[in-house]
Amino acid sequence: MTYWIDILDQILIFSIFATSLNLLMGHGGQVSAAHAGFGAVGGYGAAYLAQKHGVSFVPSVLIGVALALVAGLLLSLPAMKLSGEYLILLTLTAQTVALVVISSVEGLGSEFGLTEVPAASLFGHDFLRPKEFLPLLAVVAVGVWIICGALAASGFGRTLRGIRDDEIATQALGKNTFLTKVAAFSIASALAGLGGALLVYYNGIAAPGLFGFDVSMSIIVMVVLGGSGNLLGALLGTTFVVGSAAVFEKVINLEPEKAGLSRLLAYGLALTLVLLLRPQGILPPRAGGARWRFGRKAAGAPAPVPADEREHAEHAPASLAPPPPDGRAAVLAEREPPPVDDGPVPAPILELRGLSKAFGGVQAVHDLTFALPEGRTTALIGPNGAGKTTIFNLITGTLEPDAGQVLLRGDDITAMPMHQVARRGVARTFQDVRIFGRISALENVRLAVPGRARNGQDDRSAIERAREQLAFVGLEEHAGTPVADLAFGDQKLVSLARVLATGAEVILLDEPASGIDARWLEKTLDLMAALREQGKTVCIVEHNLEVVERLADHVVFLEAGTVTAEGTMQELKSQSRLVEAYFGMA
Amino acid sequence: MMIAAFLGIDSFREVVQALANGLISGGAYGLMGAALALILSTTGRFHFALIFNYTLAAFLAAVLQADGVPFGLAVVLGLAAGTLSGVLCEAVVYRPLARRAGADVLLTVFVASLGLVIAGENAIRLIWGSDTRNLTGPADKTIEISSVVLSAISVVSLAVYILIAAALALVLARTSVGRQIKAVRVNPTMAGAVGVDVGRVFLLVFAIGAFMAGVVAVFTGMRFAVTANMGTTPVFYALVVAFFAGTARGPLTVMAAGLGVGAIESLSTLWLNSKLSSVVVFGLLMVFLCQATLRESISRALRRRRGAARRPVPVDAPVEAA
Amino acid sequence: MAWPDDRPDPAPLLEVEGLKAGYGPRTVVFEAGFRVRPGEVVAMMGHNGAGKSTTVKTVFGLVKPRAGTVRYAGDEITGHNCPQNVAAGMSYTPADSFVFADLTVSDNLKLGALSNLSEESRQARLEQVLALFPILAERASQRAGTFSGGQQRMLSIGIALMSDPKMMLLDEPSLGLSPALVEQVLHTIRGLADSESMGVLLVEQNMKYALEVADRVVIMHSGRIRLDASAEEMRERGQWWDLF
Repeated sequence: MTYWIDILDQILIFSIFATSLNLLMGHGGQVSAAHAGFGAVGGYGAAYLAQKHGVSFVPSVLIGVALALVAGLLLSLPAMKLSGEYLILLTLTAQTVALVVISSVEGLGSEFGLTEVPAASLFGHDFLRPKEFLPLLAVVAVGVWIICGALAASGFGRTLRGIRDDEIATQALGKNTFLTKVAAFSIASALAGLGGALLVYYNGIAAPGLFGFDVSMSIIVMVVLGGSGNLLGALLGTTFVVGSAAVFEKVINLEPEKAGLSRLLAYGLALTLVLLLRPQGILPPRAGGARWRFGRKAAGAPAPVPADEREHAEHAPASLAPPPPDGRAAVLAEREPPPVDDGPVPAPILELRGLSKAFGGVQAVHDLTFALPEGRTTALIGPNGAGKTTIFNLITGTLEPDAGQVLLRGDDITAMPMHQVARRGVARTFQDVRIFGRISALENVRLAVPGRARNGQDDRSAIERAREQLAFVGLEEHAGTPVADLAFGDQKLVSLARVLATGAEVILLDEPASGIDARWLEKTLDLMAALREQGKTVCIVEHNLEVVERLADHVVFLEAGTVTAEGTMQELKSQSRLVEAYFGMA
Repeated sequence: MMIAAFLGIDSFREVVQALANGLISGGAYGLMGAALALILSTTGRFHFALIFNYTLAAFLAAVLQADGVPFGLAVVLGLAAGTLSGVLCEAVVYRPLARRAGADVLLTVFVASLGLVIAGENAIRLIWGSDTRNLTGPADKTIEISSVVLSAISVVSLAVYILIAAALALVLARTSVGRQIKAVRVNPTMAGAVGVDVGRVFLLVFAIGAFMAGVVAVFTGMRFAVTANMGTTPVFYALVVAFFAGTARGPLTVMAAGLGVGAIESLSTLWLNSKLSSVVVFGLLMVFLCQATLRESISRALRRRRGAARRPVPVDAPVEAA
Repeated sequence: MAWPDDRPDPAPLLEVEGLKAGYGPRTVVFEAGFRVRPGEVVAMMGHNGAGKSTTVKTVFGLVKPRAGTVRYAGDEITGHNCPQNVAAGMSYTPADSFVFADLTVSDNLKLGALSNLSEESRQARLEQVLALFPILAERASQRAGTFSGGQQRMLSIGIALMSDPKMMLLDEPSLGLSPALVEQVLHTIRGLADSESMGVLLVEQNMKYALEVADRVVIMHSGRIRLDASAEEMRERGQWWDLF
């Protein structure tokens, strides 16, 4: 019996490591190969204070946690600017340094560790045997699960998942992604420190072997195996990784050594197989908005389109007859150009003055000056390489201009970080959609609703607002569907709803009509008209001139990164010089 | 001597000895680094399971030798198995994974390679036991060059490492296969467009990398011992070396970085607890990784300051391009 | 330049029908069909994002077709991979990063001749290419990345020619070049089509250049072929706003 309680205790301790790494890696997409290293910081910190300075259980654990928090914060400042292999490398290095330090500093007991850690005690009660530890560990572990679960469910967790699926797009919605990542890394490290301190007290010793690189690896395995981004998954993964030794030893009756090896072999293989066969882990990440979906399902909403049918969905939407081959042309031909407004041109809301930007030797944008009149739809057109997308990047702070300024209602917003531009009311879509594929349509939109939910009231109104926008683009029935499972045209609509949910007054749309077929084109054009009626200022980059003609009040013609003509599409078409510029001849 | 005393060391002989030792271990770091850099830069796979390829080569050779297979044949079979295991990692695990992982390829492949490391090491332990084994090659001798003492095998190993790195550099520079590898590294789309079979180049690169790791493993096994977890430390050093040199650099550059890291590590033992010498190396890498990001943020902040000073542009004055 | 009417219509070298292609959930080319005959230069035009590059990539096997057929020299090659297509005599030059920047010019050219097994024919090809672009011979050991845009373009066409192609697929070879260089590059291509009966599919944004060298023009619009006409007809048309 003691044997099984010991296993259960270990599962509880390691679940602290796994759930905290799950927050960082499963939700935030940031890998850390130093999680055991942060456990060592917390564990050795607590053990050192307890053994050498007689600090009692609770304060020593808390100080250990604080040390791990600080270590995590310090490492995350450079680490969260890195990505891919550099992030992996830096955390691997940190893990190694932590381990070398604890196993060679004499004050920390060198390779033997701190062997005389006093027993944990609380309210005069000593914890010595696994059975005594069980309630304590259970309380702490459940507390950590609740904290991680609450964080994951909050706006913070949503932002993390946005970062995981597309960091740039998250910034464009007004989120400070760097600070969010730093916070997640620090919190995860602090919780690893807590796990480490408990592990040390549980074993009565702080030894390097408890916090080796293999432990870091096994924590990653717990997260990935159970299912990244899923709290239950992390617990399941922990149970599998920690508990399998017991199964091999007691159920299959292997000798302890063989059982330990078999366990490692089993979870190494299991990890590889799970990645190959079920990449999302045993339990899928929660897309969010599930309640909503179930509610709608009862009302007879269609099931999400299976992946292999999705391709064809664009040709034959279930509810519509297949459009004729030139369906798009028909859609466009039916539509009138926007109402011609004879009134005075409204005051500009966004102004670009003398913007220049060169890449290497190529002048992409040169002395560019134009303004977006408030409440109107402006289109940027021009031959290839005229610098249209670069202009969006300059406005939203993705790129820094070499010269010139961008003014929003007279305020200088030049080269402001992307999330600040977005918070001031300039939001954009991307040519390649940049949708958060693994989270639901509703969560995609909700992430964009500004402000942090401080209480339930705010949270509910944020959901309402997200639902409204989703309904506005006609996708309420797909609220609970992970966006990656939607047709491309619907993904574009979700990205539009997302931009609208930011409440931005100036909306920059990069190729709203590209890559979609008649059914979605019609919807998109309707939505654009609705936006115009709402008084939004819209700026589109679009290469399909028919779409431009139907949508834009005002067309800015760009050549080699500078404005060479402005007017309505009709006016521009009649200028033979522009024919020359656009097609290369008169 | 005074300078030596001032620096806190006993004699220059000690320094030269440390330097020689450092270069010998540095050669191993360099070749491992070159293997890892070749794989990472050509295929984009963070092939952590090089640890397994490394261990398998030495371990199988030691097992076969213990079973009576002659040394030479045992080594050849061990190297063949190590090389094959590298190819299989790509063919059986990474490639199918990468096809489905989309944007997350790097992380997914890294995690899968962790799984392979764990499974591989423990499969070896389960099959052949966890005992430390020996790989006994030709009898070692000590060489003394003006009071610096070195083992003959270690000197030979350094020569072999440098020769292999040079041979790889030559293959990359001069042969059609080398051109194809470089083509895939520089521009995979274009490589496909001219008819390079990119998938085959990947397999080849994994074979070369795993073979190089195997050679280091065999020499290390001969000089020290063969254990199931012997691969972890060398691969960590390989990572350090590969990133110091730059993963896209040629094998000789990576080798030079390896020799430098080995020398620094060994020289640092003159002042530091020998266990802490690796902290010097890894600490340097941390500084190296952090300073790039630090420099970037500082220069961006400076640019913004300058930008703010420059920004007020008269509305109608044309702005000259920078 | 256009195919003379008094000769019998030769069998098409490249024949594409009902092609559909895209990336992930996104369909970019809904339905594309056109032909290229030997010795014919076909210019493919259309607005940005109309699916021109995707069509070319799908023909060459860089993108998997979702529907439709591609026939080359009478054989169906739908879904064949690039090495197969290169071996069959096709070459493709992408719109950007079309050389191996870190490699020398001579390495670049040697990579172009992978499918040519005989050393002799490779040498002969090399001489032809160097005769066509003498600058490549002068700078054989220079890294391609140090070349100017125009020189890189010439190199890219040199690379394509090294495999002795019967069918060249060129994605916007005039992009980023000065008008004089564009003329030179396009007329070189025209000359090759004439002298070697090579089929050329040329993605081009500039109507003027396209009409100068092409026999036919195919206009794509939002993933479909909107117009397939002779260069003659296009010239007479006079205005094209409605096609884009």
